[in-house]
Amino acid sequence: MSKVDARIAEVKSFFRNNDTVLGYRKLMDCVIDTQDLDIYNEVISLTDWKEKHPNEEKELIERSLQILDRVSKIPVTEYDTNKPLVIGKKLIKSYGYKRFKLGPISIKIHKGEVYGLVGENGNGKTTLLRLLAKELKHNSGSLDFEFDNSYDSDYDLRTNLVYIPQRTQKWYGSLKDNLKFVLSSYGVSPEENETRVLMMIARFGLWNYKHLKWSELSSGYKMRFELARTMLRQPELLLLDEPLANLDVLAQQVILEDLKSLCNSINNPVALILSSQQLYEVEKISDKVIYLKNGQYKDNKEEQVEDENQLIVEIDCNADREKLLSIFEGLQLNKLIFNGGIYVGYFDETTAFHEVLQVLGHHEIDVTYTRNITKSTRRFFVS
Amino acid sequence: MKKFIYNTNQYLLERFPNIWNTKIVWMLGISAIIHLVFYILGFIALSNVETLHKKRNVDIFFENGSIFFSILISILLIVIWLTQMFKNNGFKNFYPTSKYKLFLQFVYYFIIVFVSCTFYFSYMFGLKHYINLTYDDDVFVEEVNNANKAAVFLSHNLNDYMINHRKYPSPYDTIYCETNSGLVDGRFTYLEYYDKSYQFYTLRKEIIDFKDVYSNENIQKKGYVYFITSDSTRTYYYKENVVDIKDLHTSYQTFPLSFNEYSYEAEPSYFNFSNAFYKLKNGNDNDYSEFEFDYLSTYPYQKKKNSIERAIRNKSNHDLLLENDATKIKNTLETFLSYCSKYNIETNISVETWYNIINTGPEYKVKALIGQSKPIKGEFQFAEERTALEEYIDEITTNYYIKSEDLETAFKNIDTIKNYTVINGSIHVFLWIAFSLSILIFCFRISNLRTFIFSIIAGVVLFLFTLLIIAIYGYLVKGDFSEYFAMYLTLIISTIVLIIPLFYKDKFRKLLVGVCLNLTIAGFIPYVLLILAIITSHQSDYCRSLVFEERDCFVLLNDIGFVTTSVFLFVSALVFMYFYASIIKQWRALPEQ
Repeated sequence: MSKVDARIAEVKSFFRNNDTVLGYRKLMDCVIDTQDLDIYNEVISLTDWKEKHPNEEKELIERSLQILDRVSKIPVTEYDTNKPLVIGKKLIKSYGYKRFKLGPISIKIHKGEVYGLVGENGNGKTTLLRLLAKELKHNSGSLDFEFDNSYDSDYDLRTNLVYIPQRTQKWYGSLKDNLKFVLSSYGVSPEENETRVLMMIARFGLWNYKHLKWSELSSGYKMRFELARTMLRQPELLLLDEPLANLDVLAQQVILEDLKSLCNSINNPVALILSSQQLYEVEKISDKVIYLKNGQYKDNKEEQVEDENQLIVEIDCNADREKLLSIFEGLQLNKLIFNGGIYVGYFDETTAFHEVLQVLGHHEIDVTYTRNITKSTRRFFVS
Repeated sequence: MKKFIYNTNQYLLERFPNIWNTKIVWMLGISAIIHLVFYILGFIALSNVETLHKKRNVDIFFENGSIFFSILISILLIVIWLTQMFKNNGFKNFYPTSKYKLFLQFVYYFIIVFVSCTFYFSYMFGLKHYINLTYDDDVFVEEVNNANKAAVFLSHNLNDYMINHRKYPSPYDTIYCETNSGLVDGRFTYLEYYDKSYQFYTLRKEIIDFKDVYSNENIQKKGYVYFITSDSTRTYYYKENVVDIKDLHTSYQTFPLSFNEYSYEAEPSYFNFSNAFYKLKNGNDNDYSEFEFDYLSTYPYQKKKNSIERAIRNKSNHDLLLENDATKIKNTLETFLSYCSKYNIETNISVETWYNIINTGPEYKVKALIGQSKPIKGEFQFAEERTALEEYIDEITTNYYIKSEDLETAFKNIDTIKNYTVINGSIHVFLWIAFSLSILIFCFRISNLRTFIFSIIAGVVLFLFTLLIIAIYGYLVKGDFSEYFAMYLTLIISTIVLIIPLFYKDKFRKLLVGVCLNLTIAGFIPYVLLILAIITSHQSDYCRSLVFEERDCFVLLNDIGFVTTSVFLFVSALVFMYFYASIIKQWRALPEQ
């Protein structure tokens, strides 16, 4: 089964299980990949109908499946993501003598992959993003971009990559006009402009917000409009600095899911690097997590070697240290760290996470939160 | 209307993002409407004929408040435009653009600012069209000619009728009349009227080469009556022999037979009058022709023209008076009074009364004067002692008046506006105002507020620094080189600023390069002008070093003139902006640090 077929089958299963919200979003991803404006228009009118008839789920599913059938008949060429898009070798950025220094960092970024950039404040996340966005000049090393779109100048290069800083700029005037301005500036024909903009508005769930003013939008919707604008530019590399800041948990999840699926487009994938403090959420969607500490680079896959002989568990409970040490006696606990709020237990590799949970349950410990962070970069934060 | 605006905006947005973003279509549309309003304002400004009595109606735009209205509208338009345009900036967001599109953006700014601040021209077009439509060219020329015919009878000023004003028949047009009683030679014949003396002389000429004009010998020349300078020579005129008017009248065959013996007496006569009521400009836009250079003129062409014109007018008056035809004279007076009525000129005189004042016999001596304005009731007592002539003038001045000066002013206003070139040199002033403003807006658009403010500060600092160095140099080094030092120092500093964005943009911080970039964009024209000024200074110096005969050398700025310089600079600026757009793109893509 090809990637395209698998995705269509997935969307069908969402609809069959009445998971219409997610299914509809995934349907739009499939439609976007077809680049067929007739189907775009069908989805646009269906979205308009959907917003006017929020309770007619059955008909929505039926109509969505009809569109999906049409989509399945349109061939979609799979993009070869094996070729790296960005190759950075031994990149070093220093802000001056005895000041913060990032690197040396070597990195290869592929299209269709999501890179999570984590680390405590002041460890170089923004610096690395700005370096990759050519906002900052590296002091040594090399940084090469292998974009599909040819470019003659750095300006043209930067039209293919988009860096969205933590604080986005205010939009003025009509939100839709701002989106249309992007497309006309990128040379999209007038016939396609409106359709593509409405498609992106529908995809980011902004249908009922498109007539509002910027000042009337919540932070979450501002970020969505910003992402819609960015995706209309069809960048090859997307760099987001703390896109989840100021968003509630649900909005964070939705935006990350959207980003993930848009970047994983079959025929038009995007390389995405995003920095965030929301470790769990970022790790969940990232193909690779880059951890920065004092400007030095670690990624979760490489670091695993160091900690591979251990099971690392995070526990938030009301029991004291002695009690925990006594109940974990049989589980080959190597060390137990209390960082003020949470205990982090380092067990031998022979110990399984479910055994830890079993012991905690058996001794009726009131656990508020626990997580296996053996493979998570969170272990760098809590240690 | 709202739908039309929306649809137009969407059309432009989808097809021409640059045009949509700069709002040029709307700005041109709104400006066109305002231009039309100013045209109408200009058209109706002189609809009340009495406004023509006020001097220099051609400047009415600056006098009736229209200029403030125009400035206010221009500022409002530009501010509103900027607030709308600043809403989107594709260049700052790295949307694709080419140097051509970037250049076009600047051209749009320029066009918008230019049309938003040139309402003066529409106003003047309205003014000129109104005058041309209301006062037909042929009719107007006829009116002026008829007024000039009647002018001889406007006996406002007794002095205009004295014998020294006679220019016809020949040789009155060539002989010189000495009126300064101190210079009148009592040994020879002369005429007297009250305290005035009139002695006529033939003149002899002395021609010298112009290059010798300032020689020690010539600079102290005295005794000449006047001189006329041509390109290569200067002719001095000296009094030669006294002419007895009586002899002239008997010896010259050209005199009319009916010219009687009274005519060469000093008593004021209508025969002597040779002034014009109003001289048409005939396409001449300057005001110099209005001055009576006459014998004092140092311009040979002007002198000749004035002498001939006076002689012709004198002959025309002469012929009319010799004809002594009451109907013809009354027709002339009637025509003049009809103009007074047309142009609302105040008067209390009728044709008959006026004719009676003139008709003093075949010699047409001036026996009564007409006032120039309504007599003021009550007598003025003059403290100083009055001459017999002044008392005589008071005695013969009647209560009749014609405010002929108002008619003359009206003619002058109409003539000036008819001959006024609306699109004249002043368009260059507007052009450069628009250019400077659009450069500032462009600099702000392509950089950012921080770079823009730093550019202004850096510009001021550099200017003061240069002045300081020049002042120190001038203080320490005595000599004539400070002008060159100032120019070359400015050139060196400007060149350094200019080359940084061109060749060393990777070597410095983006902010510094941005400041230099803005200074280059704003300072390019002054830079070119500075180079032209340096060339001009060298040429002038070289020219001065040559001997006089060889001084006919080419001096750049002096010889090509203001308009050519302005056009050259403007074209250079556009060419520069086109090519520099790629440097602007390169700067924009530079890393911040």
